[in-house]
Amino acid sequence: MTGPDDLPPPPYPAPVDATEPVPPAPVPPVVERPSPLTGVAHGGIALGAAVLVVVQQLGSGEVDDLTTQGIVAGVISLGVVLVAGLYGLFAWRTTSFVVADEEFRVERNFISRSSSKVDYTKVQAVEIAQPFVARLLGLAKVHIDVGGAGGLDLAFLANSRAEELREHLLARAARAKAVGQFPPPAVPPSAPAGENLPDALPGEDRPYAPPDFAPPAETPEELVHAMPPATLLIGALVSSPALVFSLAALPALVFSLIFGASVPVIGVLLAFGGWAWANIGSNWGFRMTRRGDTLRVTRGFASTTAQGLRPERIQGIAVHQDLLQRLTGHYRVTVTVLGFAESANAESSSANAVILPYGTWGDVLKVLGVVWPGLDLNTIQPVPQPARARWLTPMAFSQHTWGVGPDVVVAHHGLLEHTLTIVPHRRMQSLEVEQGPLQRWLGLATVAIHTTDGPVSLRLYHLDQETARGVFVDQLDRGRRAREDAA
Amino acid sequence: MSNTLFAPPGTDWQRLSPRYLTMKLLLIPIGWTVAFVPPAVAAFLFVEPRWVGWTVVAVWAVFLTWRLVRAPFAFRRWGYAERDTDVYLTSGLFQRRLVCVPYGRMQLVELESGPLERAFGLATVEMITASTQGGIKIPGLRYEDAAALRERLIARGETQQAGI
Repeated sequence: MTGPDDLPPPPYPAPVDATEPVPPAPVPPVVERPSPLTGVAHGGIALGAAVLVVVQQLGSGEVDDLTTQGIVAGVISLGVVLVAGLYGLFAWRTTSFVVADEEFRVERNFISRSSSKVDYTKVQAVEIAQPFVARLLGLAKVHIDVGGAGGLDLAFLANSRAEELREHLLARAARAKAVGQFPPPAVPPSAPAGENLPDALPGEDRPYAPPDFAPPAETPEELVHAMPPATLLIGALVSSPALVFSLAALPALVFSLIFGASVPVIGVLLAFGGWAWANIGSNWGFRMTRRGDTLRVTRGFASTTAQGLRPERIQGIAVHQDLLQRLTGHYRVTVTVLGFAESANAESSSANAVILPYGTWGDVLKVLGVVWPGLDLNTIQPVPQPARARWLTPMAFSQHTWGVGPDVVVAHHGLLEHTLTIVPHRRMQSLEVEQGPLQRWLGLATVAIHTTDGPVSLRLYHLDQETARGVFVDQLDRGRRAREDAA
Repeated sequence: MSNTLFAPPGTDWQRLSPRYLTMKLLLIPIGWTVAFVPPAVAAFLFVEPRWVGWTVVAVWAVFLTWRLVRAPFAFRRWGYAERDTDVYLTSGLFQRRLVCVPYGRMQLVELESGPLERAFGLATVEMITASTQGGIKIPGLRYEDAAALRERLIARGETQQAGI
């Protein structure tokens, strides 16, 4: 899947000054373009979308004059596909990326000229996505999460190349974090800018990382958890969206039986089928593996997603159980990870935050054990709310408990759906205690532990106000000690 | 008050500038009047029974009185305290809160002063952590105090920076 290699590779840019003492031999930066098939992939994705729209239009029965509208739809689709294909072609011709020893840079020279530089220390996660068409072509898209400043997308690379790039970025990020700072930059050989590049760039198919910086090579990848398809199917079937769909289907079914109209039932079935396809398709073959201290999550049926995840970036964990999942004993585990909040769109970021779509309690403990090895939930004594808190939470009272362990704060709540939230002291940002008028009357107060934004939020509801003040003060101490220990 | 939940942490609370209260007492009537003029005018012009219009005026008067009476009490609830490793902040008359932000968690400290605040010589200091749940702002500080506070916060934040 690489570009035409018939041109002789041009010589590397200015060699390093030999008189200067350079501890690690500098690696000449690898300059590379996305795959030449990028245009085809963009066009193909647009074609897929166009076909989907046309099918939906046909399905919704809005098309009465099939020939005319078919022709119009065909012309519009063709236009869209052409534009997308041309865009991809231009994107390929005008994009180049530079993988150097101390930086990763993407140069774009399309409509506006831009150069985005990624500091390896800022890399939070690297994700590879394969839309269906790209998968057929053996291509993949790389998304680099860099905390607050948004992310960087690189589309499309040959599959294997994308994997190598991710390994390189993660290895480099881990090293950068371990060292704290990079060794003094060893005379960065200035890489050529994007415009006058030949088709084949120097360094294509050259490994990104020199051997001494390739720790993943000797540490084997070990399987943490693989979700069996049965678990996925049962878990999805008893999840809350499925329950909502079946509740919505009941009146539709009654309506259909009484009036003999099948449209509502078909509508509900289609909606359910769409949801089930998306949910099961995206979580199909869920696997979590570990290599060194980096976790890797792969999933997906039609389009596979693989993301690298560093446990120290996880700010909080929520274990969630839907109503019917209480019967089957299934749980879902979501995490707040630094950098994921800014992912391309809300839907994908919430999907990315799931590190176990459906699993038994044993699976949950297995995953937790990998993420935070020292954590033992059994040692944390759950504390109930004081009895007078029943006035404020009459239904869910028995489910509200909280507890403090040596390293984490946990809280459990939920009447129908249970949620267990875990936040390490080390990850606490700020701390708040609040009291509304009713709580003041009852002598209660709520403690909120602020973490970075994500699906996990931890609040200890309706504590006795003396206890709340105590928890507040102690928790500040615990947070400070945890930060000092880590520093 | 016997309630120790919102007691200051060892030291006394630092309070806001009284000019902030003055500004609030001026702004509240202006804001509520502006908000109520269009519905009142519309009610008097287009709605037949006169009492509808007078009801709007009465609601305006009640709201305004309520906000004006409440303002000094709410103002007195504001307080902050700088400690060795963190800042305490308390506020709220009915929904009370006490927030603590460790210096090491501050990613940014911002100083804001809009045209109105500038006219009163006031400024707002906002502490920004990696979380948006806090919403940690100290309004109504004298401009010089706010600038000095920000410098202190930044300086301590740099020496105690804990990463995320």
